[in-house]
Amino acid sequence: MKKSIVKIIKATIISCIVAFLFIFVICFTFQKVGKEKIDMAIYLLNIITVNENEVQEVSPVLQGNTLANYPTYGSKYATLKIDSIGVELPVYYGANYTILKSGIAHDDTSFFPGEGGSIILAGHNFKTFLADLPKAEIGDKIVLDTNYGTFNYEIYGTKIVKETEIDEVPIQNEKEILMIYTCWPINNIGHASERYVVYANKIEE
Amino acid sequence: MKIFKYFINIILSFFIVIMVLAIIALNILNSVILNKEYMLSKMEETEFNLQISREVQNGFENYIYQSGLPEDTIKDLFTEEMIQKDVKTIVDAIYDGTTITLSSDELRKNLSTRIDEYLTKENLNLNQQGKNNIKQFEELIIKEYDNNVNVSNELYTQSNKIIDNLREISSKIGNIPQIVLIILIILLVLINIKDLLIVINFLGISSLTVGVLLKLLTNAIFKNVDLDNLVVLATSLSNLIISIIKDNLYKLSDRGNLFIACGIAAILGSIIIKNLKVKEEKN
Repeated sequence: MKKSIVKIIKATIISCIVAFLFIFVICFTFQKVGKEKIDMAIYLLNIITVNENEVQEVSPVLQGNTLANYPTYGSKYATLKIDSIGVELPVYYGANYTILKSGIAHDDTSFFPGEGGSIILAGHNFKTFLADLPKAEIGDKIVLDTNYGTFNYEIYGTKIVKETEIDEVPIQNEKEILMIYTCWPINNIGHASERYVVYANKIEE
Repeated sequence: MKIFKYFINIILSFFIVIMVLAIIALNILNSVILNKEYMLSKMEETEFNLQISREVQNGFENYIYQSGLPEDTIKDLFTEEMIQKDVKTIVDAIYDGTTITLSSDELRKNLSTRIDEYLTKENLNLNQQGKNNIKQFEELIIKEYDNNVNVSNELYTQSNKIIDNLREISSKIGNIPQIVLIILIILLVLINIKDLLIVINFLGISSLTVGVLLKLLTNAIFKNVDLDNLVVLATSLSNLIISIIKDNLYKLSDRGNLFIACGIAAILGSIIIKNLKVKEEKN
């Protein structure tokens, strides 16, 4: 009895060894022939995966003129205050439909407050948003209360531009300029092809 | 001679493994990738049309907020049937190479009627600039609809070309793997005609190999690719692709389990029976 069990186990082990030999040969050939293609496929697939849970919220810190730990795309990082026209709105990093429905969008190609460059903000021209922006005058103060500090600006100019004239809101890093725009005209019906832009310089207080 | 026969058995069962893997691959190709009905059923399962409707509606909202028109203008502007019909047009374009024609004209008509009604109700007389703005708004809404329903014209045209090529490959291969598999099994039987338990044993080895390979493949994909967070152009398309990939990986994994179970049963069964036979002969 014991002898036959040993025989069965022995024969089973030999069969399994043959099976695993097959597996090894196939895997080895697969690896040799298509390793680069497989790695490339996995790399490409992982590029087009977005795991929002993995993004950890870290507070931004201003070190000199550079911001460490940028806010997460779509997160609220500041409040825009223009007392002269009674505006107090949340500012979100990034610009998309959802953000524009919730508050002010920070163009993600522009700089952050304190970085010394162009800061471009945009908002809809509803009554509860930036409908009163054209009422703001030169000399009025704008405050950006961020989660890493408060920044003050003073309006030095306004302009009505075509929606395609992106040169009117240039990205530069020589001087800190805040540019806020909304659709124009305010009571427009149909597609608004113009933008009302407010330009403000940073002031130290 | 015995070792030579054993060596031939090993080679035959190795090729049986290759043929079974080829049959599984061809089966996936024909029943999933080239199967229009499967795609349509998956679209229904992942609520593809509903997702598209949401994406279109979200896109509309972006324009309505700055248009000065009431939100009702874009409410229920398109119907579920319109989306269903347009999605079907796209699926037909992918599988049959037909031209994509969306329900844009119907949408344009609905939108124009609503805007005219609003302008009349509010007694608003627009100047030329105002009329142009309305026209531009309508164009943007139509574009938004087209872009959300037909996520990528290029992708769908490319897909049609790929599908045509795959169909050609599939028809060229035809039943060759099945025929080769049958021949291989017949050869295995002929070589071991005196002891069919050896045939069962080697078929078991092949089955175990296929099973383990399928399990290794599915586990490797699940481990290396974050399938749940795959993003392909739009949420609707991403959800559909994720669902198809996961569905087939689970099916492959289940098949792997089945092959392993059959393999182990065949190996153990053949060895035990052979042992009992030898014992009987001795007695």
